[in-house]
Amino acid sequence: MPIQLKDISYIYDRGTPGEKRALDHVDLTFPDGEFIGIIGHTGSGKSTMIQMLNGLIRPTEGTVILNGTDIFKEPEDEQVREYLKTRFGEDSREFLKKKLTGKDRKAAKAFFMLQVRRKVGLVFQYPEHQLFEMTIEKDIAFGPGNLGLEEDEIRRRVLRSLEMVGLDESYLQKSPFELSGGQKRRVAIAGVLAMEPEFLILDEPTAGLDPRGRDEILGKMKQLQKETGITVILVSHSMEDVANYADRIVAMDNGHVRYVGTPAQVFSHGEELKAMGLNIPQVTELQLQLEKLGYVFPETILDIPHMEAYLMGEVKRTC
Amino acid sequence: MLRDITIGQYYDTDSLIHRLDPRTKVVGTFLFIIGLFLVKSIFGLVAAALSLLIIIRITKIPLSFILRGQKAIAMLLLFTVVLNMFMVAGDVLVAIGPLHITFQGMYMAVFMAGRLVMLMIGCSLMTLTTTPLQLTDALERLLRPLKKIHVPVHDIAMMMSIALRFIPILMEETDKIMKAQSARGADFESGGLIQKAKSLIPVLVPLFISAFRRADELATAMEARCYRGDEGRTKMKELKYTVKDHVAKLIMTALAAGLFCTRYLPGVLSTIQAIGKILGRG
Amino acid sequence: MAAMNRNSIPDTINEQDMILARNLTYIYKDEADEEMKPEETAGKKKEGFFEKSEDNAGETAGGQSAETFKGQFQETSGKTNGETTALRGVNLSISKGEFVAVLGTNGSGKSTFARHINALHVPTEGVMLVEGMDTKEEANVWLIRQKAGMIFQNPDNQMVASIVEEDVAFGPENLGMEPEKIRMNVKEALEAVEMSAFRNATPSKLSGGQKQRIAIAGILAMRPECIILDEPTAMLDPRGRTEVVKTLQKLNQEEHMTVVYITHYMEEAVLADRVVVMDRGQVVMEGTPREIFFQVELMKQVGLDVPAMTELAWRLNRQGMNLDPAILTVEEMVNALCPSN
Repeated sequence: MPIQLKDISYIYDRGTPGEKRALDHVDLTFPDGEFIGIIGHTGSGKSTMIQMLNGLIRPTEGTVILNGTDIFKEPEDEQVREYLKTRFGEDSREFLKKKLTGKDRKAAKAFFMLQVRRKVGLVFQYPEHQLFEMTIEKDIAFGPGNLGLEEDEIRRRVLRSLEMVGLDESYLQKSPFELSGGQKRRVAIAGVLAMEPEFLILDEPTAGLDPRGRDEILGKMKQLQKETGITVILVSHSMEDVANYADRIVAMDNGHVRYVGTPAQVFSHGEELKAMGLNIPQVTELQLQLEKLGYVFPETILDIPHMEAYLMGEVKRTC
Repeated sequence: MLRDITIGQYYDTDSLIHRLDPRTKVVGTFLFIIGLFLVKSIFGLVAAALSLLIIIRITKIPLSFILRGQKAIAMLLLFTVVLNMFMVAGDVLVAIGPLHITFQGMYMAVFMAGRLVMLMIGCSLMTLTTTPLQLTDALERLLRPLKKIHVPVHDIAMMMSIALRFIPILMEETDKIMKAQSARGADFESGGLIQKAKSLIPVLVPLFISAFRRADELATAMEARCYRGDEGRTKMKELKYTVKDHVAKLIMTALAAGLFCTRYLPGVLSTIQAIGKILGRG
Repeated sequence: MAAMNRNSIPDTINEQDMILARNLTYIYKDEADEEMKPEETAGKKKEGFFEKSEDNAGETAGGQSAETFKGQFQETSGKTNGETTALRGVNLSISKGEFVAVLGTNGSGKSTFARHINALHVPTEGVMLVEGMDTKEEANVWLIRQKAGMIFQNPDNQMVASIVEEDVAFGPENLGMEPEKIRMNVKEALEAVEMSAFRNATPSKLSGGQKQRIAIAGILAMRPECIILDEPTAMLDPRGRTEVVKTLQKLNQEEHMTVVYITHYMEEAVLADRVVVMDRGQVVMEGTPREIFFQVELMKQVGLDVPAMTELAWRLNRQGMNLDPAILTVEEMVNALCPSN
């Protein structure tokens, strides 16, 4: 099921002189199973937006819809009862009592929000700074533990997510603090993957890594999306990364969504993107320059192998 | 949630008082507090309140803003008032069961409350008109004589200014870590006290690690910028007293002395009365 | 100069040399503080900041001792007896006024090398001379740090004061300059990085790029001859990166400031006069950006990228085209493909 943002606005410091609209009437759907890239310079509203997707930030206006339900809506009485039933059992006093208390509602709401957090995993920037356990196993188990799962299930998930980020069992008993920067980051991502989310949002997962570390992480995420069908949402400042990995790109500027489409569609707006303070991949820039000189390309080109292929044959040269 | 805490708020109106040397303000506040504690009568309290009002006018900070800032002590204030009202023995005004409100109790309650409020306002005037950095500078200079008895005055001041610099950063970081752990299903809201304390471990551990990492990096960066304690160190902005400062200090000393004198005012008044009576009789 | 008599000092010292490293080798004993930046082999301090942090971490996380944390690195970085060789016989000289980019993956020793220039590390073997001064000589340390200022990765963790101007003044104050001179230096330094308008701002109101420019001003106010920057743009967005790089280019061109720029962004390295590539504690390549980047295969071997256009030229040439292999930018590629233009 997709996540939908419906007419979302978010206003910071409302009523003060510093009032700022971080998001302005945003309508956007994140379909499942895709690799989605979000671009936009600092302050464009992208980090506010991704935090809304898993309920960490409540929009000032508009609704966030996950699997058909508004994630911020107060639960209905039946939903609260349903929650009490699953939590305490069919003939428990909590379920059978006549009047629901505020405490019940609060607990039900927290429970539903936990389900949202489970389905929509969010990996913040520099996630390795949130590691805290003595062993990698325990740290990855933190999320599934909060979901109240059985020991065996937790163990299975820990192993599975560790494998997904490309680390093997030998790491389980190590301290997360003895790893290299890139490895720490992968462990932190595994900590979110262990929640087995349907959506995985990554905020600049490659910041500060060298080219090798960057390729490793993005490669793993792409593989994950292809093999498990999880939706990956990648926020990045690197146009090359987004162009190379994403199926769909969302370009944000000043609290608005400016462009949504395939990388080729979005990067065909080269000049407009530059005006928004964004770059386009160098290969695409080359294409733009060559087109000015009379070259004809059949489509927008985003990576080196394609450019190579076109330049070696099919492209019509006129200069 | 953590951003509501404001430490050492500064309210810039560029008034005469803002431009005073920070040391003058520290000393002035100190003198005012001494004056307050020397006050024994309601006359003195009124005199102190009037002078405080005049000072507030000079700072150009809205009175309402200052009063709003005193909300934090409301509970303490209430406690003082209630305690004094019921606990002081004397002429009973109202009796509620075993509790008695006495005239002396009421008097004490008002007196103590007034003193407490003025104490707080006096101190907040100092922080409202002085940047935290100026304040640490002032303390460093004022406490310099303590260096002779090996108190590391410079180091303490440096630590204070670094703390001021890093408090907002660490608060933001706490917020971020809490969000990140919430994204992994951490629950900071429900459960009893022990449960809540336990739920903070995933926040505190990364926060500590981060604080120490920052401390380490900052120490390296300071070393790279030739920091080696205060030996041979100069200051871009040397604190300098001007005529304004001397006048201000003189006024504050006079105020403290004046407040001290008010304790004799009832005595003086009754003496005058007595003398008047004698003269009248004569 | 006392340093001249030391055994491994080269006989010929070029007057033009700002920085001279001969057979620079650095071995560090395993200490807790690699936890901070293990991939960069930052093992130097003995103050024990990190031992403390780990104790804390240990206690809070359930009362285990810090030993578990310290057990650490032996396996991950494959070394013997708890010793790691971060630099193995580095020979390098950097002339006055040069803009040198140092490239390398995490763990290549580039950061450790940078810290030697600023005397934050001293060589285990070999020599490091900064303006002819040996960094091993205790007496030289403060002068070296004034002459060769250093900028670090995290802009927040190198600002001391809560007001921009005061922060820029920190270095000169430490050097004991006259207040009048400090004010002048601060003013000029802020002008040089185009941040004069923000002199009374608090750092928390600034963007990452602006904070790094303030950090640069803080070094400039000490009137150095050389600036060493250790991945100053790693935490910045593209706009901030451009700001910082432009500032450095300007300083290099207009003030003839020597710049040693450590990065793993190839696009930034292209702007340097000379590129030095480090791998596993050694200098493996050295030359102008053109001389370096067209060795596409070699660069990939050490885990680095080359600029997209250089890679494209390399691929096209492999297919039989005949382009200049040292193409770096889009413009050059356009000119190579359309010579008439």
